[in-house]
Formats: sequence, C-alpha cells, structure tokens
Amino acid sequence: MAVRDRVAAGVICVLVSLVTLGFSTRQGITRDEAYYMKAGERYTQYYLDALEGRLQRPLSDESIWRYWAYNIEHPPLMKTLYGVSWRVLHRCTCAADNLWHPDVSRITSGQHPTLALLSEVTAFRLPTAVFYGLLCALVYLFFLEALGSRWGAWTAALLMFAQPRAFFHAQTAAFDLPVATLWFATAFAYWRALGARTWRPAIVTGLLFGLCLATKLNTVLLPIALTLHCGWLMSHGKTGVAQAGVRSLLMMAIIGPAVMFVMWPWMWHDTLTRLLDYLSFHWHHVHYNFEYLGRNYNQPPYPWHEPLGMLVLTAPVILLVLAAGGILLLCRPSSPLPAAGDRSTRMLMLLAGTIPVAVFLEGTLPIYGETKHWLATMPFLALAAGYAFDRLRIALAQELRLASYGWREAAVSAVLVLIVFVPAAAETLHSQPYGLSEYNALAGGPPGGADLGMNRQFWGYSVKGLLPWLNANLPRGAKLYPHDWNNDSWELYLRERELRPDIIETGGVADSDAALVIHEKHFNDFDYQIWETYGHVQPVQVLTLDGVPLVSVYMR
Amino acid sequence: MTTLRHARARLAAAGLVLLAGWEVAVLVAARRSEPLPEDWKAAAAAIPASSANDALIVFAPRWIDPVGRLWLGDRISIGQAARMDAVRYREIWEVSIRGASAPEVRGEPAISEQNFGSIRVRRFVRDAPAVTWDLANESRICEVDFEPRRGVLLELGHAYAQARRVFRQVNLGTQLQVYAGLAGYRTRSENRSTAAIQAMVDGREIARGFAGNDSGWVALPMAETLPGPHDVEIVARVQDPRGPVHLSVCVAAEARTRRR
Repeated sequence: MAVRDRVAAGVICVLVSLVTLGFSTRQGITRDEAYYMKAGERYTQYYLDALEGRLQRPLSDESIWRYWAYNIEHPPLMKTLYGVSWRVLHRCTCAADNLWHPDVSRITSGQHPTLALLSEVTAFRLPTAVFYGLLCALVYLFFLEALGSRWGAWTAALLMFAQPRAFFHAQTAAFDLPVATLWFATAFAYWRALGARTWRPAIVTGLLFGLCLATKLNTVLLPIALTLHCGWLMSHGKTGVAQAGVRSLLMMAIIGPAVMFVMWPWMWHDTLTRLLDYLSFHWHHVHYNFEYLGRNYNQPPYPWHEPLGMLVLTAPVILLVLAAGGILLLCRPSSPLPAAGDRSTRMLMLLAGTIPVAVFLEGTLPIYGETKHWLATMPFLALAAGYAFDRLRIALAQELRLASYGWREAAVSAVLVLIVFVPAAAETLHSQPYGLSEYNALAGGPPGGADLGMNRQFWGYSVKGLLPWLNANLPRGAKLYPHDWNNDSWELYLRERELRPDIIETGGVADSDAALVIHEKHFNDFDYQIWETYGHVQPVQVLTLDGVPLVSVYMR
Repeated sequence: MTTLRHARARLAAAGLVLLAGWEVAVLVAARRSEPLPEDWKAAAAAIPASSANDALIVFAPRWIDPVGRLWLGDRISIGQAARMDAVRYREIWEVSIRGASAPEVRGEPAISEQNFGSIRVRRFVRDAPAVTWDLANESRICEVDFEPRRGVLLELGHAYAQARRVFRQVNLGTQLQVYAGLAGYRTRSENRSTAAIQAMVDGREIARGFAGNDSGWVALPMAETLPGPHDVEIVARVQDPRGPVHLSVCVAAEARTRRR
C-alpha cells in the first residue's frame, strides 16, 4: 500500500474523530453510557491503585471485587479506555464533586493530574470517536485493497461517516460503534491473512478478535461468518487460501479468549462461574420495549422484517440505493476486483456484512437496540455503495471520453463524490443531536417516522435539550421527577455544570413540583399519571425534533 | 436504443443527482413542516377560550398531542383528554398538521376551516346527545392501547375470577354505551387471557363484549334503555384462560338521551 494511502487513512481517522468529538458535546448522556463511565472510573482506579502500590494484594479476589464487581454484564475494554481517556484529559473538579464519583475513585482535595483538555463527558467519549475514525479509515483501506479506486475508497469512507445512527452511537461512551469497528477490523485482518503464508497475520487476526470479545458479546458471531467463508473456499477448491483461513480461525479460538481473560480481572477468580453468569445474563436478556410500525413490542415473536425496516428507514437513501447497486454489481462474477480473486472477497463481504443483521430476522432476539446491534453491517454497505459509485464514475469517464488521470476526470469524480456525500451528510446533520429519532427521506424525516409509528427514541438522552429551560424556569429547590432520565446521567450533568444543583431529583410524580415525560409509546402511561396527580393536561414545555415531541415538562 | 446504451452512465448520474436533490428537499420540507410558535398562537386565538362543556379540541396526527396541549391544554379537561369517545361533544375543533384528520371527525363536513402556517383548524358541529349519567366521578385514568381512558378498573387475577360494580338507581336515558379495554401495557404483556364484559340493567344483560391484549378500546353494542332510575351492573370475568390471567379491565359507560 502506498504511503499516500496510509496518510489519507490517517487523515480520515483524525478528521472523523475530531468532527465526531465536536458534535458529541451537544449529545445527551444515554443511560447506558452513564454506567460505563462510572465503570471506567472504577477500572482505571484499580490499575492506578495497583501500580502505585495502594493495594496490598492487587490480584486477590477481594481487591478485584472492590473495583470490578460493577457492570459485570459487559467486558471491560471500552470501559477501561473511557476511564483512561477521562483520567488523562478531563478538566478536574473531582474534589468538589466527590459525592458524584464512584466510592473507590473519590478525591476530597486537590485535583487529578491531567492534561485538562476536555470536559469530563467528552473525555470519556473520546475513544468511541476515535474508533469511528478508525472504522472510516479501515473502510477506505479495505476498499482500496479489495475493490477499486481511491475515488471509490473516499466515497465509501464518507458514506460510512455520514450515517445518522452510526454517527449518533459514535458520540457515546458505549460499545456498539467500537464493536462494529473491531468486527470490521478483524474481518479485514482475516482477509489479509488469507494471502499470507506465515502465522503472523493470523496472530494479528486472533488478537483483534480478542479485542472484539473484550468489547461486546455479539462478536461471537464473527467466527461463524469466517468459518462459513473458509468452508466456501474449500468447497471451491481454494485449499491453500483456506488453510490460511483456518490458521486465523485457530488463532482466534486460542488468542481471542486469552485476550479477553487478560483484560478482564473480574474473570481471574472463579472463572467458570463468572463466565457462565456473563453468558447467562445475555442468554436471558430482558426484552425492552420497541415501537415498530405503530405497535409496541416487548416480547417475541418480533416481525422478521424489523431490522430491514429500520435499515431502510434510517440509513441515508443515497447510501441504500448505491449499496443495492453495488451488491448487484458485486454479484456479477464479471465485475472487476483489483484484489486476487482466490480469496473470495465478495463472499467474505456478504457473510461478515449479513450475519450481524441476519440473526435478528428470526424474530426472537430482543430488538430494543434499533440499529445499534448490527452496526457492523454498515461498513459493508458503505463498501458496496463505494463500488457502485466507482463503476459509475469509470463508466461516466468512458462515456464522456475523459482522459484517465486528467483534470477533467478528477473534476467529474469530485463532483460525483459531492453529489453522493451531500444528501448523506444532510441526513446526518439533520439528525443532530437526536439521532435516535431520525428517520430518512424515504420515511419523510422524523415526522414521517412518527406517522409510520416508528420508535421515537430510547435511553433517555434527549433531556439534555431541555436542561437550559429547566435551569432557567424551575423554582429554587424544585423537586423534579425525571422519568427515564437515570440518576447516573443526572450526576454527570451536575459534574458538567449543565444542571442546577439545587434541583432535587424525586423518584415519583406524587411528591414532585415538576415532571418530565420522555415520549415513547410505552411511556404514555406516565403522561396520564401526571395528569391525574397535577390535575391538568398542559405541559409547560415540549422538546421537539421537526415538530415531533421528544420530551414534555409539566409543572404542578 | 443504442443512444440509450451509450448514455447509460450519464442517465445513472442524472438519476443520482435527482435522488440527492430529492433527499435533501424532503429533509428541508420536514424541518419546515414544524409549526412555528406564532402559528400555534394564531390557531389558539381562533378557537374560543370559553368553549362550552360539549366542545372538544382534538389533534391530528395523534403524535402532535403533547405540542397541541402545550398551546391549548388550558382548554382541555382531563375528562376530555381521557374521554370514552367523542359522541357527547356537539362541537369539535380539529387542530391538525400534514393534512392529517382526527378519527373523531373523519368523513364529516367541517363548517369552517382556517390555516395558520402549517396548522389547519377545522370546526365541526353535529347532533350530540345529552349525557344523563356516566362513571366520571368514580373513574381514574387508565392506559388502554396506549391511549388515555377514564374508567373504573375491574381486576381479574385467576381463571375463575369475576369482578362486578353495581351502580344503584342511576338516571338512564334512551341509550347506554359501555366501553372496555385492558389497562396497563405491563399487565397486558404478562396476560394471555381474554375478559368478557357484561352490562346489566335491573339484572338483565343488555350488552356484552370481549377484551383481549390486542383488542384495544372496545365499544360494547349500544343498548336501548328506558329513561329513568335503574340499577346498572357491570360484570367482568375470564372468558378464555390461556396461560397467565392478569386482566385489568377498564370500563367506561355513558347513559345518553336525545337533546330537546
């Protein structure tokens, strides 16, 4: 690979990370990331206390329990990175805010020695933004190596970046975007290892898979995709390449769990029991509520088409159309690919891109996560879209008889990139900062999504849009019923100085002076409770996206 | 044909330009479709603040209800917001956006229509009966099919459970309308049974209906009644106990008579 391409990938990574981080400052705190931030503080503190000798027996179960028994339902990689990023970069007011920090990491005086570059929440979120940058850069590199030209690669990377839902998740300290990045990175590494005769690329694949396992459970599906691909190679007589694939799978099986084990001190004692507890939590995961086409679902069977419906109504239409075209073109064996054909690149893309979403078509897995549980599908759609774009660009240059590498060809290509990027970017910008309420032009935007009875939002993050209003209008010492806005997020807003500290969080409507309702179909009942308690039906403020209600505020 | 084949890429590129333009235009239109505060203020000013008790304000599409109540909620009582149905209201003001129509007035001719920005205000006047008795005083707001309904709750917790409410010597009109539905989505998600609801007047069944998890807010057949004081009894029992029985049956009733 040329140096200029590595530089281009680096530029993509840095730009995407910076833009994403910039937008994240407007993003509300989701209930899950509040837990992960808290966990990040605890886990980082463990390493600090262990390295600085404050723990007598740092490897004992007792020491580990104290720091690591929190949020054991998810592996630690991203939470640890969030904690490290926060510990290095935040502007510290931790002594003044010590009650809002986890008990093991409280300080009562002084400040943490940090670079003081970012607010606390932004510092926590930085690693996900960087993972988004990495994902876009990897899409660029994969395209270049496997599918086509630099123009196509740029387009694929831009279409990966300009996706409303992915962009939303890239701004949160959660796992769904990072795990999509690691899924893609592992598939990419596996693909590269197919062309190698040594074990080294296979070991890299195994290490990357270990990072996947240390991030989120759903990556256990990746070996299925890669094993099927190996089987495909064998069945088509590509035995040599298949052997390289088997080497990677072997390394994934050996190194992957080992990496997860090393990174997760919680697993260092009573390993089998804790591992089974972890798996059992997800096997028996509760089914949250999700509105789809006007109906509230909270138990199976779910409509098989829900993931497809969500995809079609949330991804930029230009991406969907180009991706559909790209898939059709890639299905034609005659379509040219720059990479050596014996690696069955198209089949790998199909398997690794389809399995994350395909498992939800069966209708029994919880569907509460809208599109986030199969974000790993999106880079493959971006690749397919980039491929369609590239073929169109080349055909257009031929039709217009443009000289290769001439300025006119470059100008036409650049204009085409703009034509493709602008609507996708418009969809993405339009969604900010309420990405979970965004529906694409096919749906008619957020109001169209509401007309169709699509899920309004989840995670209680949109209340951030009301904080200025609450700060300005609630009486001193007012008791506020926060509805689905959880206590951990509340404390983070206090730490960020975004919420007045005299406002009192109250657990029920009955003793509140003001109350919020975060609008989701299954939460309608909270409106009615407030009407009955307050004796009227008139909110004093309603937060909207294009007129679609997101949060209502009532005053007694 | 040959020309078309030779211009295929140009046609595809033109299609892409059109698609891109359409996608951006739809998003711009979606943002612009949001009514401005001035539109809401003007719409509110067009609806008399001192509307009588038999006037009702409804919003369409249903999802703008919270924003509608922000601007007009001072003219909507809890009883109106959580109404059994809209039959008792002689005058209905429909406030709508995006060309939507409220189910309460669908198909009826409006007697006036005004537009304020993207908001349309229509006034409907129709014959409405007088209500001689209802359950308002004994009701609470229930969530039935994710909508607010004021009614009395009859709880059934096992296969042979039966619950009843008796209302002695109530003033009936010429018609008695009863509605029923299962309250509480959490309860519904645990329940696998159906409830049978009977309405009785002076010990004689006059209407019967069934409420299951997916049946929503069910209107029992309208019953003709003799005007005057009567005992009304509403009975709920388990009709079809398939698995867990968690039935919170919300029931509303109105006795009506023709206005003179």
